[in-house]
Amino acid sequence: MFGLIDVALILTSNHVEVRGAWAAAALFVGWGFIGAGLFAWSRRPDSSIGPLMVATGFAWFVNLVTASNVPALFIGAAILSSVYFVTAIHMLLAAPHGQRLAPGDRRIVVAGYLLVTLGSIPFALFTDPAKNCEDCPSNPLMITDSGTFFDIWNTVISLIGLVLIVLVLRSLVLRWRRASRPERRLYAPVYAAGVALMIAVIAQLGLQTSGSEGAALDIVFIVSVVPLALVPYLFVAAFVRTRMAQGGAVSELMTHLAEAPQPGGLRDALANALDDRTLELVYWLPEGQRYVDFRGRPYELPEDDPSRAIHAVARDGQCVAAIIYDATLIEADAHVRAVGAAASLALQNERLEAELRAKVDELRRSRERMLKIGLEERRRLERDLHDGAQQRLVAMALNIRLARAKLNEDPVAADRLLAGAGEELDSALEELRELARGIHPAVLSDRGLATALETLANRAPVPVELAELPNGRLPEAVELAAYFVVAEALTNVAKYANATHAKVEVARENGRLVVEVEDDGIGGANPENGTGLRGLADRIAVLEGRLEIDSERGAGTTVRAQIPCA
Amino acid sequence: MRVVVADDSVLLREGVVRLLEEKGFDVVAQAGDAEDLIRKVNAHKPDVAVVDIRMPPTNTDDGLRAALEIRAALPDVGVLVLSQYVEEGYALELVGDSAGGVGYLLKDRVADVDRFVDSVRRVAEGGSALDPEVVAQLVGRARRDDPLAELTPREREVLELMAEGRSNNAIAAQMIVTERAVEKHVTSIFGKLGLPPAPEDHRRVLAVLAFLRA
Repeated sequence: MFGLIDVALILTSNHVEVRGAWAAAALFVGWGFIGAGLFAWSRRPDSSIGPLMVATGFAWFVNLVTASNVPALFIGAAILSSVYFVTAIHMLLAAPHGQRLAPGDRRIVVAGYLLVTLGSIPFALFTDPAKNCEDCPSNPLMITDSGTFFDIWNTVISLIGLVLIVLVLRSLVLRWRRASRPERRLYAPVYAAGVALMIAVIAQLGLQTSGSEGAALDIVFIVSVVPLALVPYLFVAAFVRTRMAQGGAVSELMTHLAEAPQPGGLRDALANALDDRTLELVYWLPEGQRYVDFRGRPYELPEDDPSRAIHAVARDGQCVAAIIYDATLIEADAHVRAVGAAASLALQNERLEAELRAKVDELRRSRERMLKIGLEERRRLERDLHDGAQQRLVAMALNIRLARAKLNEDPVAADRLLAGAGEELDSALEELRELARGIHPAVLSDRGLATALETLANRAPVPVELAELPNGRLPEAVELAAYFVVAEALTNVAKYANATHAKVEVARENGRLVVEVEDDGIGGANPENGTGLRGLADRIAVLEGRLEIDSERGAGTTVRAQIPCA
Repeated sequence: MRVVVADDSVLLREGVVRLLEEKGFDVVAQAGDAEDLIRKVNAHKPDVAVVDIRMPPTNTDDGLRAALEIRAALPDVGVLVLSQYVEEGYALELVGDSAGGVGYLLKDRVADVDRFVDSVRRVAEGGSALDPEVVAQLVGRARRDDPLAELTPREREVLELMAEGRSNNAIAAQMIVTERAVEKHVTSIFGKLGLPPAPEDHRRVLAVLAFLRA
């Protein structure tokens, strides 16, 4: 509608030459921007590109109102005549995603808007357009016509404009450098048109400040309109090409997947389909509640990284994998979904493989840990035997030999020595018993966990309440682990907690044995210090269980182990 | 006194047998596993069976189970269980609701010949013999509002010896005091712990154990 009014204005204008050509150009540019803008707006409502294109289209029509013969319309349009150019720059700077502008870009755009609105008003106040253009309407706002003022103001405004445009160019070039490969390929024409537009305007401003007039200026202006006119069409073309490229990529991917790629080859196939060399593919392990790569190594999702986007692929309502891709990929979300859906079966297969690898890995690691625990325990046993029982036996042997030697000449001394040997023997036996209990409490294998824990509780130096104990026997490894959890926890309660009371609870919950030892002591236990709790955590981890320690200072300590136990 | 000795370690069994025979016991049979033991006890009805806790067939606590079976089936046969380790729970289980004719000792005690023989004799005569370690574990158990704290050290010592199954006479000898003094301690202990007086030694043991396990 606006466009048609403009056309009418141009065609009836007294001061526009080549009216027909101008009218056609007016519609081509204005409708092009508005149409492409509406299209982009409906496709990406959250992007600012669509609205900015539409605004550029309308601002362009406002510019053309200068064709009007009505003085008020003419001068109003003249003041706002360059706004379209700044909205176009705004759009180029917001391209291709229409996200918020960077602070530097925002400053350029704000300065631009001020320049083409407030900056134009003095022209209107001090210039009589009729001087250069006889058919132009008179200027109702004019205070006085000052040629000197016009020259000075014109130079100032043009220089500021020049600086801003150079800054815009720099920003566009920087953006181009940072752009991803597919982004460059698709948006090269848009960028090229933008840069051409900037250069043409620089030339225009240069000519204006140098005082050139007439034909040269007109030519440059017309040249600058061409890239401007092309921008909306190039935008739509890029969008359509993206769509086509994406459709082709998905069908290519399907063909590729049918040929059953190598392990790990799936990532490359998806990277190709999405044209994103930085793409990462990780698989979900429901058991471990974590992601691993195809080799089964743990992977942390880059959830706080704005440059990476994450798409979780589900199959039959189960999370299978996550695709981590370049967040700057254009129009990628729907495409990634399509690619993920196309590859979901292959992903499920590779997920199983990754899960297997992760399991094998974990097994290998736990085997190493077990070996280490075993070695450490053997070392401790060796020390205890050498420093304890063996020392005493040696001392005893010595005492007995000495006693034998003295038996006849000094029976009293011999008796004393033998008594000493007897005491050593008692201590050695005592130590051996303790040692044997530490290696494996006989009551545990004889009678099971409940009885063994009763013994532990009885022997603890603080009163221990046994809240709940499992009935019947559990797998040996589970019983032993649970026993050591309670033993270690109660040892710590005795040594460090300064508690008056402890509570032990062992219950079966959802295929797990939950062992909990709670005290009312000083808290502040840290599993990082001391080997006891860490060794315990490993022992539990070997059984694929979990150990949690809750020990806030002043709030007692709770040691809680969950051990899988079918 | 007629004895059956059961232990799967021939060396130890022979040692115990020799020791007991030397001290005038009549070892009527030897057994190498729990089933053998029950068979022979049934056949001989001895005064006492000395039983190793860990024996075939399962090499866990078969001896203890056999002992419980014997105590249930033949209350007149005393059972003295020998164990490599102290498990006060086992001792309490073995005693059950009668401390008559029952004993639980660490195997090491065999080396202290006189005391061991005394224990065997006590059990054979319907008394009790609990290892001092077992008693120490029971007495030393951490308690809230521990009534044992009210006992004097002497009384505590008497309590422990009582729990082992010793007679006043034996306690007096051990502590080098008069039997009269021991009796006074015992009365005081029962008073402080709120236990009813028990005339016989093994009833006294049961009362003390019942108190300690509570």
